[in-house]
Amino acid sequence: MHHWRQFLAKVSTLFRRGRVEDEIARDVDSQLGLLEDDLQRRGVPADEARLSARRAYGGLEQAKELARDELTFVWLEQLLQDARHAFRGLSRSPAFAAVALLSLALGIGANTAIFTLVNGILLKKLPVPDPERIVQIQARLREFESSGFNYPAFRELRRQTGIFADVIGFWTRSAVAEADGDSYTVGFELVTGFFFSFFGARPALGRLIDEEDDRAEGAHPVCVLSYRIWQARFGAEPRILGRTIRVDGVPLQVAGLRPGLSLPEAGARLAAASRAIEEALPGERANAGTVYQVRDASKGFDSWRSHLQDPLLVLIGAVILVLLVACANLANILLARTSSRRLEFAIKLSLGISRWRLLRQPVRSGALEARYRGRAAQVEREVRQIVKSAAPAYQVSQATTMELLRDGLIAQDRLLMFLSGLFGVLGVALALAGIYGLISYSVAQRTREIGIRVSVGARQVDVLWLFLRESSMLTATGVLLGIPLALQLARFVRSMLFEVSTADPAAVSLTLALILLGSAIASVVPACRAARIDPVQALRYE
Amino acid sequence: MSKRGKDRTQVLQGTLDLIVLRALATMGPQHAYGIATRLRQVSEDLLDLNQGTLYPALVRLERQGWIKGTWRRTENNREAKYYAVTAAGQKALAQETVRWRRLAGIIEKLLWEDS
Repeated sequence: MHHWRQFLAKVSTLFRRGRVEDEIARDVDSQLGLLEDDLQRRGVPADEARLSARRAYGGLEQAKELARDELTFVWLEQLLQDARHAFRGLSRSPAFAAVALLSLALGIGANTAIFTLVNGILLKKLPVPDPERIVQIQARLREFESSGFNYPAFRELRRQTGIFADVIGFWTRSAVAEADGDSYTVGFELVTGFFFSFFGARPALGRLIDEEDDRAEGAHPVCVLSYRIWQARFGAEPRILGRTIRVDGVPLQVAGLRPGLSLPEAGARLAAASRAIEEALPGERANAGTVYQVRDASKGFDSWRSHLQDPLLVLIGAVILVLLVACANLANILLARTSSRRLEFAIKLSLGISRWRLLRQPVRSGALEARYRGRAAQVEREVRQIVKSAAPAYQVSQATTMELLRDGLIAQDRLLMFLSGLFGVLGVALALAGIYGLISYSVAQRTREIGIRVSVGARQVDVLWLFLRESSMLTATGVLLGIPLALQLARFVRSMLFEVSTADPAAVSLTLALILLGSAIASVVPACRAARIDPVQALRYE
Repeated sequence: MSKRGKDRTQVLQGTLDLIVLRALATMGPQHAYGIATRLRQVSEDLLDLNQGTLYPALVRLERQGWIKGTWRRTENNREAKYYAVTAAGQKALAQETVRWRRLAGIIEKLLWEDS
């Protein structure tokens, strides 16, 4: 206890020292001043009065110390008291503690996870110096927009000096790599010479591709390995430098820049240079009328963001709702717990259900994924062998089934679906636990009333109805408020729905039916308990 | 500090709070020095209460919400904190007075019996 105080006192002084010290200094100064005035009035000379006042004050430093203690411990004592109280309460009812902690953990955990994604993809800037100076170049021809450029166009863009500090280009694709008689598919990027220095990257070993490699086309056929490939495929071999790896390399296109001008200025000057760029291109590469534009790329490329923005916003919305439900739920349970001890048993039940669901789903999807991967590898091996024997001149860069291709394409949407489904279930489970808590609370509060009703002739079924009516009223109110709200909010996810209307009657009615059923079940348990109450005991209650 | 010594301070502390509350309730809003002067007068100098003792008590009472201090200027144009008894303070004063009277009565009785 004593150590705790000391520790907390130290922590608290971090925040409060300045304010407390100022307060004490002001108090003591004014008190000394009054004492000094009085002494002078009684004839003590001014220079002596100051000293005498300090003496007459009596234990100046000690008084300050005592005052300091009083002020510093104000909120500390309250905090300790609350913490002690809370801890005692929680250890008395572990089931309640588990539900409360689980609700909060899920709510906060889901929020943290999704926000990490949102932060990484939508908010955070590129890890380069002056990310706000990086732009993405785009070509526009009537209604068509493109960020991909052919190499001559890149060269011409780079020649437009005075608009950008430099222009880099890169192109991401997959290719077949061959080394040590082994061949496999790798993701690789074709980059222009300035690429690595542009992002301030440094080599882990050897050198990176630089300006020199750009001097003459094809004169420097070099590549830079990723650290991961080096470890996975070459056993982190230190003498990797100078080795030959065959990669099926083909074309090169453009994007990614660094302006010395403001975004609109650079845009205007690039647009003005559009005609010159097109005219300088070889005939078959030129598209007369193309206008070159710039876009903000300080947070990375637009395409990454536009791709993920909507799903992420939907997810963050969902997890915030889950957190809100968890908080409301917690408040409900707290309320219910103060008057009902039997709640513990029931909370265990509701916890049992939701925990089941939560655990089951991820496990199942994990198993499915492993099976898919195994199949994909098998298919790829077989196709390679067939092609090798039938047409040795050809190389297989990637072999897959249509099914796997489709799965790959919709993987992101599936994940989004799974996560929003999970958060939905979580929200409903929490809401039902909340209804349960509320009705239990109501039952416990009205025990006496129930006793009176039963003793004047109410049947069990009447008591049951009393509480079911109450819960149905609550649920009906919630549904009446919730459905229009949900339909309004659904408009935001319209772009993500395919052949399903945002007000799909089947989906809405199914959700409605599930919620009504769930809330009925959640309230039947405490209502039954109310119906079984012994009137004699109930009248003695309180 | 021995246990006995500690207990004694606590009793004294409780008494000090009561004395200050009572003084403020009768005098109206007053600064620390004013309270000290008043207490010396009332106790006919028998109660040696300097500001060093008084100040921590004022801080304590204020944080308990029994008194409330506001900064004002004195007639000498010096700034000083004037303390006034709050509603909660009035209630506490009534309770503490009863408690003190009971305690004093018991002690008085005990002292008579023993002698």
